[in-house]
Amino acid sequence: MTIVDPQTAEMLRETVAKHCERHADGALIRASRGDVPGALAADVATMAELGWLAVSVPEDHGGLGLGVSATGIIAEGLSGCYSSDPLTGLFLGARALVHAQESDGLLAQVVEGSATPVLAWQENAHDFASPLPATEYRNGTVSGTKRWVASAAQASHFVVSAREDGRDVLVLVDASSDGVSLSFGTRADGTPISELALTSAPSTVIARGSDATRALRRTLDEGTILVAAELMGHIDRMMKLVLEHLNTRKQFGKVIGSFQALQHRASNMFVHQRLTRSVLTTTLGCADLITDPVEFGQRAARLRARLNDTTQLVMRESIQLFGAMGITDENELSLHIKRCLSLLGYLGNSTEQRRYWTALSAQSARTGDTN
Amino acid sequence: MTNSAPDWNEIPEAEFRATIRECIENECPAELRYHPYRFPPEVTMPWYKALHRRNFIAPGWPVEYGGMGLNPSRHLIFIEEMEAMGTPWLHDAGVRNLGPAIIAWGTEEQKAYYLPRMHAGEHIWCQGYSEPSAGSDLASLQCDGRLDGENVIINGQKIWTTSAHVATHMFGLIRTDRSGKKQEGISFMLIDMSLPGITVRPIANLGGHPDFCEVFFDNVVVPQSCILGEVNQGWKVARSLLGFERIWAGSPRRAMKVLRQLRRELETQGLLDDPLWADRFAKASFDALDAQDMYTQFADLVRTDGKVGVEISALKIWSTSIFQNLSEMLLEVTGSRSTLSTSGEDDLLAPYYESRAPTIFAGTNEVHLNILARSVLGLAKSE
Repeated sequence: MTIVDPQTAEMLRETVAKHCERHADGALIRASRGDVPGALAADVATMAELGWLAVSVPEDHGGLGLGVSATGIIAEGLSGCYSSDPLTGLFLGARALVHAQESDGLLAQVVEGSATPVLAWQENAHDFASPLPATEYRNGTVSGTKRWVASAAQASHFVVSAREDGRDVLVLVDASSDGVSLSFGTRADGTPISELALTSAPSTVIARGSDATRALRRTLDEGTILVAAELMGHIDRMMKLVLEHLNTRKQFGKVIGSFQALQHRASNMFVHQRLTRSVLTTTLGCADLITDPVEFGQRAARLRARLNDTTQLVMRESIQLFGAMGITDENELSLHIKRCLSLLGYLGNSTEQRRYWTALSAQSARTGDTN
Repeated sequence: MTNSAPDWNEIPEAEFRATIRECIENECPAELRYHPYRFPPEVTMPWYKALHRRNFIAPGWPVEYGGMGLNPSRHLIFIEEMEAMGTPWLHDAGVRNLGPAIIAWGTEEQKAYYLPRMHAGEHIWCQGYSEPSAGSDLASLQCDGRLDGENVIINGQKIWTTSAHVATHMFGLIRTDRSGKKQEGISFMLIDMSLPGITVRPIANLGGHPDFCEVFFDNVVVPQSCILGEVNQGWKVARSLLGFERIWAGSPRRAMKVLRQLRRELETQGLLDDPLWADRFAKASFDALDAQDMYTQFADLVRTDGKVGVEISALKIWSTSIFQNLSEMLLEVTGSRSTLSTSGEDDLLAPYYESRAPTIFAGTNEVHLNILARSVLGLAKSE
């Protein structure tokens, strides 16, 4: 795994920005709320064409051999479309296969967009620490219920975490198999999130025991970094909207941005924005090179907790500084707020991240340092 | 001064770090390290002299003046090593702040006289900027300097002058003209504290230490050759000192120190596994470790384009704020023990006291919020 080089990073950034310029459509998002699959930043075919699905697939499967650092650039940029869907869902599925070292040719199809495996791991609201699932694999079939499955509507396969004789196992399930049924709920941003019911669904084991535990953990940590990158994009965009407002809205005969009370609130938001940007840049700059799971998990957890906290702050302050306009749905701000609300509790809220970080600290306490 | 010193910017980083560590281990006695407060200069002078002998006392200065000629990133590594090994806080405002200004603005006579003496620790400098009515609004300072032939006659007062009670010299801002804008008419002066007419009154700080002082000037006669830069152009000189000072003020080193102390306390008390404390400790750790990420990034910016942008105010605000938060958390973790006044390593109140000043000095955090609003966010000038 390598870190994305500056030229490739810049190229990705430009491509994503151009895509958003052409395709950002708030009206469509509002009109599609509650629909399946709902409004997407780009459909699978477009993402495949732009090469975004190839980014994090190893080169020997026809991908670009980059990792979460490069995909993070795409996720952040797609905040310009108010959502990165279905990027994260597809990333999780593909990365689970990568880390499970699946070699049945499926990853090559991921690159082309002809296979779209999606990860189904979560069962309860506080599962980020990935406890042993209740979902059970036995004799070639898997049974159980997975919840909060993102981008299930696009899935050709599900990578399912399960237990087998009290140990972790990752299995692959064809989405069109018997015993697979999906139901859809609606997230805060109006996009679908799924419950996957598996009833003796035919499945193939792709990783067992500690290999499965490790593969899932790495995938979830990468996923949380990806969500963090998207949140950064929303923070920047909310800040931009607020500053425009502060510089144009007049009260008492002056632009309200000239009032020191509001300036200090805006500056405080900037302090957090700048801090958060530093943590993200540092993390994306080293993440793919980290092999130690404790170090990687702690980096990811610290990053994500910072992103979550700053996002909450910027959301809260943006609404306040916009005044009544801040609580309207028609304000562009609302699209970012609702998307952030859909992400904050997904793949680990701040409290879960801190708990996870603490558990990892205890694990590494023998060596006596923290990351 | 030796000619055989290597090019410190070119030798491998590991070797550079090892050299500094070796110096600390051999020259800095254990009883001087990890001390919460600044020792009087005579206590730390042997260590200061050792740094002087090795030409390590002024790492940022050019080699020809007895510096190490370090580029900004090597300079930060130097600071990092010194802090990691708990070396004491020196009375080094001369070499750290004033030296570079004398090198940039001084006459040959000024360089030849002042630089070697501050390098050797013979002159100890304090910074005389603030006055009773000129704090955040520094440019409104009034301490009067009347030009009189070859001399300047100084009358007035400075306050919050750190270490004036132990300093031999002050670099101060003196009002030498009142006809134009307030930033014009200020001269940057190098003042011998032993001159007749100077009275120093130490002010005990919250921690009970005489760290800063009031300084009174009563017809103090200073030769005009002690003006650094041109007469009435002192504001420019003072501003040029700010760059590295801002990175320094925003360093999370103090917060990291309290974080380590917090961890030790939690460990000793068996509270690391207590869910409530574990959560708070994780949050505190994130605050400090994130500050390190930000600090490193700004240091990298210094390395690549050589200057510190106005965004650096965010670092200063964050690092100083979390230093306070962490020091307050230390009082909570230690329960009723935190109410006791003690000294040395057990001094739980020291970080609390020490963390009050950084949000005020080097520009109050509110001034930095103003800077961000105007210069980074582009908001309109407030009333």
